[in-house]
Amino acid sequence: MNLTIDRDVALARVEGDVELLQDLAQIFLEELPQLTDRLRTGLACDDSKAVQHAAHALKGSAGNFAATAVFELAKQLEAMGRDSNLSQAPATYEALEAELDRLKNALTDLA
Amino acid sequence: MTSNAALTFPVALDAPADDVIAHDELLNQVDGDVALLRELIALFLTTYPDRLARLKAAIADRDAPALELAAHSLRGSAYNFFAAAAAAAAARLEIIACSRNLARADEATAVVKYEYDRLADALRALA
Repeated sequence: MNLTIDRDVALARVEGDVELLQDLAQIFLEELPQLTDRLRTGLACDDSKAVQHAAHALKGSAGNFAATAVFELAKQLEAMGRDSNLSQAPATYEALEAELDRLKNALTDLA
Repeated sequence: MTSNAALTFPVALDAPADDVIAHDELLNQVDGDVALLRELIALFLTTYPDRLARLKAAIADRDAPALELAAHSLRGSAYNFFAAAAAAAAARLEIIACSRNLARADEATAVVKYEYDRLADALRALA
């Protein structure tokens, strides 16, 4: 059982269109390095706005796939960025990276 | 992974030339519109020498905020072409600049110049 993404919910969101879901997965996989790059640079440079915006984009994509763990961690990072308090953000980012590895595998299987 | 390790960037100096740009992703990005792609390439080739010049000026002046801005702007331009090595090199320099400790900035700038020249060559070959 794959707990990383909820395939049924993700499919329901695209009205059962498997090809569309696969396209979305492909686009996400292509854009992910840029998003993690932006997050890491934002964290290293203590740039709250950059963290907020990149986390927001990641949260949106994770929502498409009902990827709950990534969604929640990205949501936390977005809030930390919005509050301009990144003190806990590196630890949250580490957890996010581990979840992203799982999500990448799940989406690669999907695509 | 430690938080420090999470903040490092691989710089692919030895990557083969066809790894400079992710071609398939690039064509997807413009929905196969080759004319649009050529415009994006022309825009990059016109503006990147000036961006690199700003980088060099900031290094010469030891002006960390200007260096951070110049590296940031270069990083954004690499994303348009899914040029991971160029973006990573610019990100590394941006992080050095925002730390305000420019001890390793010269070497990082040399890597940025190397990667962006390689990217420009690859884009010229595409256009």
